Amino acid sequence: MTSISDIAGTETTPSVSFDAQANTLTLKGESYPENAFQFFRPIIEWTRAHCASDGLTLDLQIVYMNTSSVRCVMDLLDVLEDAHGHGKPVTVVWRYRSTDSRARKMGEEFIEDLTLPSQIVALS
Amino acid sequence: MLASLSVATLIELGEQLNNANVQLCFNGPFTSGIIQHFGAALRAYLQHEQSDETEVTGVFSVYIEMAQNIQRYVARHSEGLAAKGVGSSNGIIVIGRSGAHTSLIAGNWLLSESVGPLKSRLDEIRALDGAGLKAMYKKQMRSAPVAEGEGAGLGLLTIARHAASPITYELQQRPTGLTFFSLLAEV
Repeated sequence: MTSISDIAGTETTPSVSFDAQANTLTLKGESYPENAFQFFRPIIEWTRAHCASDGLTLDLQIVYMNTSSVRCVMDLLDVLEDAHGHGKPVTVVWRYRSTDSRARKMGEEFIEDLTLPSQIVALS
Repeated sequence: MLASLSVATLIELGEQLNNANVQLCFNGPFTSGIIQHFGAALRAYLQHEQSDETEVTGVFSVYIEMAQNIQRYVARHSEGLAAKGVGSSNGIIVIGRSGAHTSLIAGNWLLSESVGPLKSRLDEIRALDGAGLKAMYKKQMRSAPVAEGEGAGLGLLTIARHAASPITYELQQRPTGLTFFSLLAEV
């Protein structure tokens, strides 16, 4: 299995951690770097390599994203959707703060065009 | 020179901002660090105003897209702007209250070749309702080239989608060949 090292979160980029036992990749925090592609490219590449042979749960707990981050997360979800099409057990979980209806709507918009199993979960 | 700002000018400046209900204003270089920290100040202000989280997300989102649009524009056109005497301090963002809404205005100088495409883009966005904005956003998400330093297209759409009423803009051309672009959104 390929490995990914954990990335600590910053003010403008989410933390990234992979739990091999649960086979879950978690992105947590905020995402509005000037160059989102630079940040997300290695994550997308790791996910693509990982999903070539294995399933994955992608746990997204991103409070706020700028447009270029949205674009990158969409590319990440496309990788999962593709893996789902190849019969890999993949799931995406979108978590939002229950008092933020814009964040819920963003999750719904991400997920509405996908066929892979997904959940939208309110954080208290 | 800063010393040439008289007390009378400072008072007048403060009064003008107060009269227009301006709560926060930044005029200067839009670097990543400044964008991030002025954004933190904006959030602190919204908390002080006891805005709910949905409003904070909307205002913060509009602010980030406005600020990063200016940052990208200046980076991409730094030589052309410098040739016209515009340095890196090419931008202003003003935030204030208007009734139940938070208003944000962003302004920056544009080179003449940028004006036409921006104007048609804005008019196209302004003509759309909520469903139309969503459809265009989804379409462009899929078709826009994935590139570093991606252009302003999706940013403007995001601003329009968060706004409570259609975004408005002005383009004021100067004899120098520069045009001042200002964009207003109410969240």
